[in-house]
Amino acid sequence: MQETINTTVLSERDYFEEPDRQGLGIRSLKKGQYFFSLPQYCVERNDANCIRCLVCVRQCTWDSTYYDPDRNVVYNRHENCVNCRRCEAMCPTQCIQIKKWGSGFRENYHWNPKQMISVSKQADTGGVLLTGCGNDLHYETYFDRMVIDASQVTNPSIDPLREPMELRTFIGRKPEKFDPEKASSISTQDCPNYVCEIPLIFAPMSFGSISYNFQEGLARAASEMGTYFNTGEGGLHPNFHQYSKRAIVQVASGRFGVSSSYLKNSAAVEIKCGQGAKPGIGGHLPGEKVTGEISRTRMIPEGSDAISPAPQHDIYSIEDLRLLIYALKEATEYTVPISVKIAAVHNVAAIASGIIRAGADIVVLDGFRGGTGAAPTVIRDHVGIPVEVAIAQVDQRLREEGIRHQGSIIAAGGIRSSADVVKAIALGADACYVGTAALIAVGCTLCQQCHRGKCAWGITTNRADLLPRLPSDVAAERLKNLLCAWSHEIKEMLGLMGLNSIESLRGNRLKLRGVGMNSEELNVLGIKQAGV
Amino acid sequence: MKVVYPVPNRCINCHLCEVACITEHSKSKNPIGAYSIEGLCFNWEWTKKYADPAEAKAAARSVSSARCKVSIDNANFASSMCRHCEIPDCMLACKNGALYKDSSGRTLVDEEKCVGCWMCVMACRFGVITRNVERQNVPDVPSNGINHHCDLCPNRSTPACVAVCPTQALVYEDRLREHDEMETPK
Amino acid sequence: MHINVNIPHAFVISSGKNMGVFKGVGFPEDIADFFKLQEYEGYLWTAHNRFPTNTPGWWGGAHPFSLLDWSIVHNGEISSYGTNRRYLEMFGYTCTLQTDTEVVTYLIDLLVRRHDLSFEQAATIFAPPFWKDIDLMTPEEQNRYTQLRMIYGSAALNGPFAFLVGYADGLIGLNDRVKLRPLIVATKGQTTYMASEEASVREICPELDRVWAPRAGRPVIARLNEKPVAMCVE
Repeated sequence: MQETINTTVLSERDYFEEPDRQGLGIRSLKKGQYFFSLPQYCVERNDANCIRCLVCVRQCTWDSTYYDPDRNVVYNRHENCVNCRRCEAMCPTQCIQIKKWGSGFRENYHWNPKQMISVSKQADTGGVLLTGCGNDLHYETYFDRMVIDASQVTNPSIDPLREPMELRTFIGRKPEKFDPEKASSISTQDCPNYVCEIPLIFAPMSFGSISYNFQEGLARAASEMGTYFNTGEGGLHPNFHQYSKRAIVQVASGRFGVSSSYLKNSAAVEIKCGQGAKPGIGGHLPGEKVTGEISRTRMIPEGSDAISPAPQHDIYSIEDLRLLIYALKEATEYTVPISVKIAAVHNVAAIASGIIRAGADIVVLDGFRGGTGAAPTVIRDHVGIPVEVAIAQVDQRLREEGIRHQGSIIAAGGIRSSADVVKAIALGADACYVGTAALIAVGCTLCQQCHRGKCAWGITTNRADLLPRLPSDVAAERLKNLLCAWSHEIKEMLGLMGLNSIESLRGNRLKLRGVGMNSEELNVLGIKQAGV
Repeated sequence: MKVVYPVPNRCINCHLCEVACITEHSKSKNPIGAYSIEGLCFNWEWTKKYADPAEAKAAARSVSSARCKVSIDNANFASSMCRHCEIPDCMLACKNGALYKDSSGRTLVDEEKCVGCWMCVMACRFGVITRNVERQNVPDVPSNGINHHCDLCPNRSTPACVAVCPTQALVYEDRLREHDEMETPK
Repeated sequence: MHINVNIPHAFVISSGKNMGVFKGVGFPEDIADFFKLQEYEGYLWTAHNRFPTNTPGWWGGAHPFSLLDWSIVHNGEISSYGTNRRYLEMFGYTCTLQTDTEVVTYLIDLLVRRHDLSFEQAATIFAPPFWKDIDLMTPEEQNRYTQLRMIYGSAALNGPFAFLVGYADGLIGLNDRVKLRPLIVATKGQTTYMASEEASVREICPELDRVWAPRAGRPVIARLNEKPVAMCVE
């Protein structure tokens, strides 16, 4: 992208600060913004090793590092540091270490620093606090309480180095039964499916919330690995139309970028009803991040906040959802599957069953660990349920109703490793969305500042000077490596379970056992206690 | 021949190429040694001569010992260094014959012959020749310094700047020489 | 099904026409004597002598398993049991006999009786060809196999197995698709023999016309009208 619209004009001089004559750390406390000057992190610089190359000064986007040429010293405004670790990573002499600042507040289990700082920030601004990434509180991660079975003696484990091992997955509605008449001609496919060579699909991340380069990286990695990326609700940039057969295009409550060619040139269309990080509210792209290209792709004015409505305004009941599903099927001439993405909430099994009955071919369950580019902190941290129980409950309910084959289940939200993927599939998912892991693969350190549009790693920003920090080919290669590594690991795990095809793992809960869960939790997940 | 080219829209303005260049051409081959002990790069002592901080900053930049230089144009950055042209303008302009082509095609400077007239600096179409203030061949003129430009790191297979660049904004490759004209900065 | 699920310690073992199933725990010759096998005559015999893999032997878990007219003997272990079982439960089958072979019986019932598929198609579903092989087929074949795998992925049998299905019109032998269990087919005149080991066939019929090991995942079907007598030992 050659665009340089709406970016700050920078010159080398901008990195050199006039010295603060009052000394450091003494800042005016405007309107009593007391906590603002209480740093959370301390950028500790070993001055003996600092060579004044100023890499850290140039790389910091949070206005936390500056250079005083008079004293020839690099200083920090520690209260601005977000612990993104960009300076640490780039320093050629490794003289920087970011640490927790001092004593913190007086120890208090109930009023932990996060709570106190939130209260103070709200007193400063009177606003809803925004954050990025996924829920970071201490809730149970059931993935870590499930263990996987292995073959010993009576059934041989299979060696993926020496035997074929298949991960190809079909996502979409399956016919009731095999019909030999339809099988001979290819054109009469009344159940369109999209085919993934690996059960890993990139999660919805919109252009705007993430950078142009990162989305291009996702698209290229998906194309090369035989899987798919998801446009999120930000539309598809014209330059990415070449990847449109690898794109799952979203129709969200804001309808950004939705047009007939957008819908037709896709692998699948996804109706976004909810997001794990913010169930019950719409997408949010802060105005800071709406630059020229994004405004054109989304069809909104530059610099304006893009806040999608909380519900889809044409869906107030399950009948309405059916109308929208069939409207999209008509629009795409029944050539692609229609997916419905919901946040995992308390009554998820009944909702998912309704969605499949309404005609959706795929239901995506987004757990509460799912990431976001911008969401109110309080919603991200306290709304929704873990994806593990959502998969288990939805899969079970669809089977009880005999409609499991009518829709695929995709698990999203907090899939951290190939083991999580294997566990999710064994619980009943068809495939997994990979979002946060893809971000980490390209450098994200989960500093949770995505909403500010200043990502120092160049991932969640479209500022022209920050874009080159993540070139698309570097992103594509790293993402491809990640998918490759995970698929090798999944193959290894399939092999050790004595399986040579992913479909024999799907819903195979006998391959899982629970450790350290109570009987109710085991029951909800539909698995047995380890040792039984 | 293979020389170093910048890749458009890749540079992130970190200046690690400069650090790598200085380190490679230092005695200690270590950034801390090169900067802190050998005093290469920004000669901070030097800036003390200036009362005005702005002037000091400008001077500090001008004496970087790096052979590559990151230039900034709005939000676009690029590191540039000697292209070792087929028929170098600098060599033609040099009145002392201090600049020469070696057997592998590199344009090099004979440090004994350079008198610091800076005709090469003016002639270079890429603006990639600087002064090496470490060495002054004319004793009475303290501010002069001899020709200083990329030597493609003779002790390495890949130049240090290319190896260090975190976003692969520099490539070391052989291009058709007529492309040089197209590479000319606008 | 109702008896197996709801009445404790009572199981229906044999429910076919013109077919009998005898089960017991003990040495083969004792079982044969107990049921007075010498008094029966048949054109198709399947026998199974089992070292129970993962459970203590009990008479209900002994092979063959039969439902209506199918009878199945199986050597191996089905690693995809959890998937197959939950798939079958969707169609109202309940697994009660604590052994993985049971699912094969129900799957055959589901695919052949309820979904009207041929034995060849059922065998394709149980031991599907690899995608890499499907990708090399003609478009029509590709589409057929892809559809079978796509629709019946949860019915694929994974893990080591060699099983024999006896039914009124013949006998089918099938191996898993990477041949983790042996399967031998032999013919002598009008009789077909199938077994895990050649030795057991030679025990019954020392002189054979032809002996071969079928390819992994390819079914061997002996039909009554083509080869009147089929005989097998597992």
